[in-house]
Amino acid sequence: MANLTTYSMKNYPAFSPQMKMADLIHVNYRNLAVLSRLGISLGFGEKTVDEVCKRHNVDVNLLLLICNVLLDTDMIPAEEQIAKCPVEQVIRYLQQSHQYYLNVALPNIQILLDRLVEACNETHGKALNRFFNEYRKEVESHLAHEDQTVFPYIMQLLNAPKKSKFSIRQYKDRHANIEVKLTDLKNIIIKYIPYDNTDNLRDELLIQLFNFEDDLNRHTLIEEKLLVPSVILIEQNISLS
Amino acid sequence: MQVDRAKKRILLIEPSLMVSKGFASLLDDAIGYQLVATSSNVSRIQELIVSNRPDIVVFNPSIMSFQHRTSIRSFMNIPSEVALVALVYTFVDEWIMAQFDAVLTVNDDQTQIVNKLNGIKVTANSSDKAENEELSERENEILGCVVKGMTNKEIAEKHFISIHTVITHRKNIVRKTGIKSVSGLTVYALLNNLITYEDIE
Repeated sequence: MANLTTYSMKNYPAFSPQMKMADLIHVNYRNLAVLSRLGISLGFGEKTVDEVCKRHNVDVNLLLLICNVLLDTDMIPAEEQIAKCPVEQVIRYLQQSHQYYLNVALPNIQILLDRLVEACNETHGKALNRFFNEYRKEVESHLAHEDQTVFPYIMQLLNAPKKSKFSIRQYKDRHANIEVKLTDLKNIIIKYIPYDNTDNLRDELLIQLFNFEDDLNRHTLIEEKLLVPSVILIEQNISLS
Repeated sequence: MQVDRAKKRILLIEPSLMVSKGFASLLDDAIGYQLVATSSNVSRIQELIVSNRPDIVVFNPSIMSFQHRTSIRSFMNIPSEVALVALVYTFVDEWIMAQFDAVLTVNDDQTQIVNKLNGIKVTANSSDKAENEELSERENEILGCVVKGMTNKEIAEKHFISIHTVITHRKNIVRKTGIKSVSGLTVYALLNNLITYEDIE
């Protein structure tokens, strides 16, 4: 989905620094996750987006850019917007997302899945469990690769710019596809686990899987539309100097 | 929106609110057609097709960049039974236009729109196609072999069919089940008693 080379007609800013921070969430509740991942906690009263950002040392342009990309998935940020992005804050945002996936989303899914496995016949449960473990490991190793290789490379680039064999373009190429198994899992649960009175449980699990998928897709958008282009700009500057 | 089974269902992808509102009001009392959903961009097109089951997708080609020159239908994964109609208000390359079943322009009035839509040749009826989506006996056999780890060549030899046929079966299995990974298909095979747990341990 992120490969679509489309551009949006919506050039107006959907969010502005002068609006109330509370309204930012009312307009799109997905922005809740953006705030918490950038280290902004709730309880900001009537303060504006700009005021709250200053108080938490968060770049207001970055916050708005992320919110806009999450709202309009076709949007492609302009180069001057990307050049202004504080890359270390983008990375912090992505790292916090990873923490959320590892410590909250996946464990919550696991709890529901365990309950479903329990309710299934033994063989079906074993198969389901085995498949989910495989998927979970894949997600974890994908995230670990970014945390341990990609992000440190970028931080190194920011702190002591020098030429390196690794380039962000390689990361772009090897951006593993962890979407396939999630779709498979959803289909198995929706279509193929035989009728067994677990409908409510299945619904709950599926909603969490859909939310997780949605969050991962949007996470990928931030990587592809903000992180990768801004690192490419830095790499170009280094090779020019 | 109210659903009228007799009317053909239209999904509109159009960036301009003015144009899409205008199109909606022209279709509002048009005989035989109804607008079931609109979107200003293509990002959710799959979701919209699945949830609205349109017979026709009316699409403004200017919202796509055509640098890859791929087919619009395959690029956006629009099923063959859904007609693809362009809505244009500027000059668009002929090779792009050739991909559409009909072309509407912003200057068309209601009669012209309906006439153009009526002129679309129906290839298949979407409601007829949904039948027989269960895996065939042969597909189940092939699937059993796949999840036991056999290669396409081994499967072909065992069943006296060509490798090409094996690949076609595998494509159909993936299409029907919506499961792409071999480990996902393994779970499917277990749930449907095509293999036992011992087979994969």
